[in-house]
Amino acid sequence: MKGNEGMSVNASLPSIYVAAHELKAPLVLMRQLALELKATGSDDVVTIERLLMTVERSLRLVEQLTKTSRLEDSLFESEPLLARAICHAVSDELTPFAQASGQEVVVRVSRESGVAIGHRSLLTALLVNLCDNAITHNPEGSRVILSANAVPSGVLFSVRDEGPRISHGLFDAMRSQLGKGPLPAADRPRSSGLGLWIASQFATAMGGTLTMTQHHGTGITVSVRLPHSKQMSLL
Amino acid sequence: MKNILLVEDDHWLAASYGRILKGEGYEVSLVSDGASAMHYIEEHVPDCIVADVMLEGHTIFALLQELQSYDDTRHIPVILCSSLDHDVLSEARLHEYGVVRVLNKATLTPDSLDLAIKECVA
Repeated sequence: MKGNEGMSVNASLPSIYVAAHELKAPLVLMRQLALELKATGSDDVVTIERLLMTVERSLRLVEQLTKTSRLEDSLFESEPLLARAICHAVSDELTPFAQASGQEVVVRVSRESGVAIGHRSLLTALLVNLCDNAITHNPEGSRVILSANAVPSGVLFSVRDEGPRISHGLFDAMRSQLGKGPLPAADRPRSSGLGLWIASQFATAMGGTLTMTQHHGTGITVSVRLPHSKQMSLL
Repeated sequence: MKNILLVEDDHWLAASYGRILKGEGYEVSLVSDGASAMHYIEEHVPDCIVADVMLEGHTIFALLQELQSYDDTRHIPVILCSSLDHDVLSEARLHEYGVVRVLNKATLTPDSLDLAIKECVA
């Protein structure tokens, strides 16, 4: 089964400018942390750990960009994916970053979530991307909730953050931009939404859809719905 | 001791700037967005504001306009630190918003930040 058959992916690759600008922020942070270590002559473990985590975040972004640029040429073999195992793998990968940021990744997988049909590497990268983004925007002491639940004929994977509320206008712009490409620099604060665009490309390649919800208090939930594996119903 | 208000939404970057500036003998207060900065300024008027441009929620320009609306805040010198292209951020054009220096985060050093602040608060 080919997950991307008939799907329109990679419709609008982000410009080199957007990708370069998005990478500038972690590079600036790495440089600043290195300058601080040099200036103070210290071997402060916390600063070194932050430096390493930022290097890893940058590498994840580069890897995802690389993967995105190959989506059109690749045929991703879909396979049954155990929702619980995927969520725990994502949590394990990002827990060091969350802890270094004074946060926690909480996994909530319902017993009925079962098995989704998708591509392991793409789904893992998609959820890592969403959790990474959530940790980056969350205040210290907050949580990122990664969940998987059964929905009609599918499995819904969701990542909820506890970040500050954003304006309705910006939220609507981000939501309507899903799958179309990052927002222009003048229309968004801090981030271009490149991460969300990458996630929506991965979702489309697996035959899934990405949706966003803003909560009344704080936080945003980004979800991807993938088809349910029919193999389970045969058991 | 001079009080610096640091407006930066990257927590690790803010903490690093904060440690460097404290080491230079400044009293440093950290906030991550324009609204929190305004709340802080209502209680304490800083000697200088060092701010990022692209912040969570709104850009720094909403805060700069707010500062220019009040007699007791329009004189506060503002140093912008940004990764944006510097042809977008012209010091001459931003002067009317209280911006005295625009520093490039990609080339900023602890010394250049300290020097820019010293020029502002001298």
